[in-house]
Amino acid sequence: MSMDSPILPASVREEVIGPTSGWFDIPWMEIWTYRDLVWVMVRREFLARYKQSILGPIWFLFQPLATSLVFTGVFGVFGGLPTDQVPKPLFYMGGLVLWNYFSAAFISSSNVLFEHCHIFSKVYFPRLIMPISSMFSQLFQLVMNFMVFAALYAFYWWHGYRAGLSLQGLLLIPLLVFYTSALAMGSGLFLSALCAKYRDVKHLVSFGMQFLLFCTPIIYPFSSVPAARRLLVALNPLVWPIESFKAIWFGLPMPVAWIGWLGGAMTVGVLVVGVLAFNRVEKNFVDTV
Amino acid sequence: MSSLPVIDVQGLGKSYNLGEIGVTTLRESFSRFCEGFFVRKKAEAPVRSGERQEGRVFHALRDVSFQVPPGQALGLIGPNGAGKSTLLKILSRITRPTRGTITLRGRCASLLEVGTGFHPDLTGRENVFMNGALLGMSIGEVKAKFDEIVAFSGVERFIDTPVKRYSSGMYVRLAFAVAAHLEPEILVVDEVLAVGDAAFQSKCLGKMQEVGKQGRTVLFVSHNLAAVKELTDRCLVLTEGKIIFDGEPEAAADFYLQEARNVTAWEADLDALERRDYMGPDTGLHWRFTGLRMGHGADGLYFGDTIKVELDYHSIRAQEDITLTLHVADNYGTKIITCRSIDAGVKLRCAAGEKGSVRLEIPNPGLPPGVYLLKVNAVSGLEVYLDLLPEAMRFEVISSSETDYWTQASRQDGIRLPSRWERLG
Repeated sequence: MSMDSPILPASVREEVIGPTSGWFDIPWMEIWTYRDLVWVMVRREFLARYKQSILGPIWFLFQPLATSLVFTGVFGVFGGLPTDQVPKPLFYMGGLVLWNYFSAAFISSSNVLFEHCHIFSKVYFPRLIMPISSMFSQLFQLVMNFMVFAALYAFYWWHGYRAGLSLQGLLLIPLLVFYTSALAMGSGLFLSALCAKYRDVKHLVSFGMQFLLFCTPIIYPFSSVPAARRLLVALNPLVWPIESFKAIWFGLPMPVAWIGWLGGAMTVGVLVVGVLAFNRVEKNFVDTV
Repeated sequence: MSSLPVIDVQGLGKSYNLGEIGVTTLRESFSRFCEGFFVRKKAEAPVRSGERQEGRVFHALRDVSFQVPPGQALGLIGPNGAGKSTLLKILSRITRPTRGTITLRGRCASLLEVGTGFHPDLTGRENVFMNGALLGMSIGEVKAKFDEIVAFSGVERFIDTPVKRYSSGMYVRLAFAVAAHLEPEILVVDEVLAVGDAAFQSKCLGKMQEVGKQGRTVLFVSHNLAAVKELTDRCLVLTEGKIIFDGEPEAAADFYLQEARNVTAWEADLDALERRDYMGPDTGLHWRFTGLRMGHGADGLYFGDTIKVELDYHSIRAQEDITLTLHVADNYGTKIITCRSIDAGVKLRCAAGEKGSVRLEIPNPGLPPGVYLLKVNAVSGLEVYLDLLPEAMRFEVISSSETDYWTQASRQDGIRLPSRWERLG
């Protein structure tokens, strides 16, 4: 080597690439240095989706409203299911705001490996960036759903419906959103890790979502569940955020504390397992596609 | 004075299970799991699971070790399937090795493809930010270099146009411009220069040389031996996952050519070749070349012989308006002859699932003795690359058995064609 070859500064960072190591080597620092990528990905997703549709984001308003009206007809009118004395379309919409967010966020994070496998096979960046940015992209849908709900709420208010809106309760809403995001991301990542290994798992997703919808108090109030079955229903961690959301807006009693603690513990567990499993599988994923 | 190597590769190995690559279905896992419990069943079931467990293991890399000191430009050459891509993928942290380690000292950027993450509906400007962020730049860094990037690419006028309206040349130029403005200590470049026009290629080469002079470490993989010779200080030759030569680029190129001479075959299984998605991820997905055969005499192909090539294809989806192109390139990858089906008025139209063959002849191409490379591609319409194989097959032209000095062909002469001569006056 010649004398004038540049000498590396002593502070240069050293990186070792070896065979897949433990379960816990999550590159937190690197995720932080790549934080701009999250924003860029969110923007890309948004722009790409609406560039060529005339109505653009308006489509997001239509879908929840239509679902809520269908539920009103099928379960409310024909089925005669109770709605806690809340006007039926409003009651269903109240449940759908967080549900739609959960379901979209769950599906997008469970697809994250396959959807971006072309990028994954060409360039390195901390892979967790992708599910994180897809969470942020889905927040937009949440906002649209929420606007439909707010408009409907205002409509009934105008027509004399007076629910005991809990103002302190509104402060809880960011927590509900955070809780739902964590649950969706954790379970979605776990599923994506499973799909990478076992392709047949993805056939279960649409069925699973349907099943989960009926297990969640959206088309019926939690109060209508017989006391003996409540524990079983509350094993679904979505019960707490969705019931709390409705309680806040419709002046109903908040769900009992243990439902929140149980759901919260499950959410944390699912998130940790999901992130670890994804982190493990992601390292050699491109070899299998 | 010695300093630590910037890239330190120790005993690197990567193996794949052939056949079903890593994908299992739940049922198989479950039945294997059950076999553990019901030992008696094991005697009946070995046919299925035995096949899999014994399954051939493919070693893409075997015990590869080398060090790169700071500021060195290292070339990497080798035939298809030698493990070059696998090595690059591990270096770029896209996949992990099975054995061994790589230690990198410094920020490493790799360019396995230009324009990764480009979205057709987004404008050039938006894609520059997108691509820059994917390559590890912050938004601030991209902003600071934005004007420089756009000027380098030469697409200023179209920067706010969606990239789907770009010609493929513009697309590649913009994409390379982003990558060229990364400032890593280690730059890993795959054969991204295979696309783009000649002027732009030389601009890219210039940019890369500049990078080398700034004291950064470059690892450059290419089929273009001339570019490797020009750009690198040292070169590795990789074959079957092992390093078989390490030294001066000139010597490495000669060594490689010598190797290539020995492997001249007259047919190639194009279906099995790995597709490199220079032109988007669909390369070879909907329509692909499956085989190539060359006509030759008993002793080989003589100078002056007609080159006869048969190409097999499989059209997975229905396609129309397909133009096929065959290039004959010298062993360094520089194209010498281009033949397009359209010149003979032939455009293919294929039904879904159709398998067929075409045959073309180049009467007396006048190629002097030497080893040549065939490149093939298929384009639908004007722009959509269906399939592209920059290294479909190598063949050798041998000197004719003539002993007469004047009729013998010489490599120094270049292409020698039959010509009409008459005396005037």
